[in-house]
Amino acid sequence: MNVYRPHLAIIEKIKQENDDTRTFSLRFIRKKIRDEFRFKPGQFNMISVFGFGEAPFSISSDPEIKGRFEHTIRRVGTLTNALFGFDEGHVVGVRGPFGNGWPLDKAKGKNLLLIAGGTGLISLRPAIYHIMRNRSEFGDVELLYGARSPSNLLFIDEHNLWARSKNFRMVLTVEKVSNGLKWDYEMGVITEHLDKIKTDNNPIVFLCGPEIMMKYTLKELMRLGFKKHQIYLSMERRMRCGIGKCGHCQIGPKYVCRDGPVFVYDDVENLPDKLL
Amino acid sequence: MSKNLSLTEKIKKEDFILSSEVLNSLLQYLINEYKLYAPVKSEAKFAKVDNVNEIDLNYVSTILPPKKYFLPPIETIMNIQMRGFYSYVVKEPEVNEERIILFGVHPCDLNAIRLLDKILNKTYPDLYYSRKRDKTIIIALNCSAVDEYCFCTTFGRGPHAYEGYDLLLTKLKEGYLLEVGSKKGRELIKYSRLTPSPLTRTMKCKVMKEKTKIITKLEEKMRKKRIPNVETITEFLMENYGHDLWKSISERCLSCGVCNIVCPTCYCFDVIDKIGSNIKEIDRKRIWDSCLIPDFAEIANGENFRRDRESRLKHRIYHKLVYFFEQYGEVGCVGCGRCIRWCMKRIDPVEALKEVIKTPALG
Repeated sequence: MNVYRPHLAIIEKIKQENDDTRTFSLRFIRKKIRDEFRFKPGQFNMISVFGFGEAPFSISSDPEIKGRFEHTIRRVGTLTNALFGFDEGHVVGVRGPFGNGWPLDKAKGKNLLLIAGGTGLISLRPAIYHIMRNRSEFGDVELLYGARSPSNLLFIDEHNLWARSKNFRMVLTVEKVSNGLKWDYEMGVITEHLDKIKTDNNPIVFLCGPEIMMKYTLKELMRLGFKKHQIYLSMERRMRCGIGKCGHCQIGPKYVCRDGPVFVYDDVENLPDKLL
Repeated sequence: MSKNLSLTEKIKKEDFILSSEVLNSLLQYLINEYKLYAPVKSEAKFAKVDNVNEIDLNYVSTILPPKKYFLPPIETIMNIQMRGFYSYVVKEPEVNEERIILFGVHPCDLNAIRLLDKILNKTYPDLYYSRKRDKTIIIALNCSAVDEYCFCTTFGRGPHAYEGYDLLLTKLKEGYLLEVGSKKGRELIKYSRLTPSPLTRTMKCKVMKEKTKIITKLEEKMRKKRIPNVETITEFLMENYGHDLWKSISERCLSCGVCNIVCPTCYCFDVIDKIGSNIKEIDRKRIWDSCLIPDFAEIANGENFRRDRESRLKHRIYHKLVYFFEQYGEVGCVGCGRCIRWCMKRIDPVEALKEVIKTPALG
């Protein structure tokens, strides 16, 4: 098997999440590939926009749904710009899934605190689906989600469903609200709301967001008495292969693609070349 | 290192002494039957050889290491054809089935290939590498000369080869010692219908002594370039990540990446899509990449995790000596000296390391 071969996938549906972010629902064209494809929450695929190259993207859909999967993608560079020119019915290349994913087994029977900053919610969404489906396996779950402004929020139509479910609490915050817009939730950056966390009994923490946001969140979590070994975070690096060969995603001795993207904070704390 | 002496005792029944004439006829046989790649006299490089006289048996080092035959500087890994609007056919490029002989590989480069095998041939085998690698027979050549940049003894990876070859040659005062390292090598000798002189007991003794003498002589020549306390270099470097010297060295670095290009164990690559002039075909190519070049660790939103030269220069040195050890259980430098030899600003990682070792950071 050639690990570099991208498999063709058709864009079945495109959903505009906000100004610069869309969710692409994809389906492998070949039945065999489609039937065999399974992923764990927190894993990623390498997506090819032919002619523009290949880049890693977190899978954002429910891992239990077979036959199709979703990628929620923000328009930030050349490749994503090209992808945003695609319509439903157009074709991309996909290979994966790669990476380790969120350690949901370690969170079994425990309370869980999910902290997402901006697009960080994309990687956590499959974990939320998993938790909802297997609610009895987990204790209290809290989601602290921060975005720049209400118009930057992701998966808005799912928030109610999450917030309403049993033993699930959601803290939503934005940094700024345009004049005249009604906003009933919190204001400010995530770190200002960490003290509102109700979960106790040493929850397992899943943290995902821009590295600078994770840096300050970790600092605050440490101040609040959390232990490094209970915090898991997902890292983002440039990747060209996804399988520990191209060298781009290395942080010290760790390959983000192969050893991560999810790391226990203990293991990354002392690595070089990061903002954390 | 101390391994040297015991390993020369390995001379076996199937090892031979070849006269220069017999070696020439072996080479002629290889040219006739295979594609032979060897260091050539015209330039400091490995190239395809059509005539025995082109081969340089006394070379010290080439500019590019022979890894270029398994991991080429640029290589098409996928061909994508557009059929109509947004419909594609993805094809893998055709594989060249030809077996090649890589002749005259020095111990440093041989060790480097062994390390590349560890990276590219394991876990997720890299087909493009392994196909070429599997079809190659390596005839190594022990060094008979070194230059002021060679430091293979530091990591115990030369000046003589111990493993990773199919056949191994050592230049003696008279003729060459030929040692068999694998089944492939044994078969090659069989098929070549060579009639080398078998080694008598006395000759074996003599050859062993001569080999030891060559090793000692070369080791002595490289003594100046030896890094002290290399056994603890990994731990030492971890403690000296913040050493001031790294910054001052990196101020001279041009970020040109030539050290990556000439390094036999550098394997990082970039992948790019090249659209053909008919706009219907796309070649996905992988090309050598350099961690010294500023955008190597840059992500889509513009964040760059090794923005400054110091972090990039350190990443290369630490990758070889610290991270590689953690990833693959041994250091990733073979002491070939190329990164020193070809650095435009004469940055010498060995001298830098010696300097850091002399003045360790406190705490």
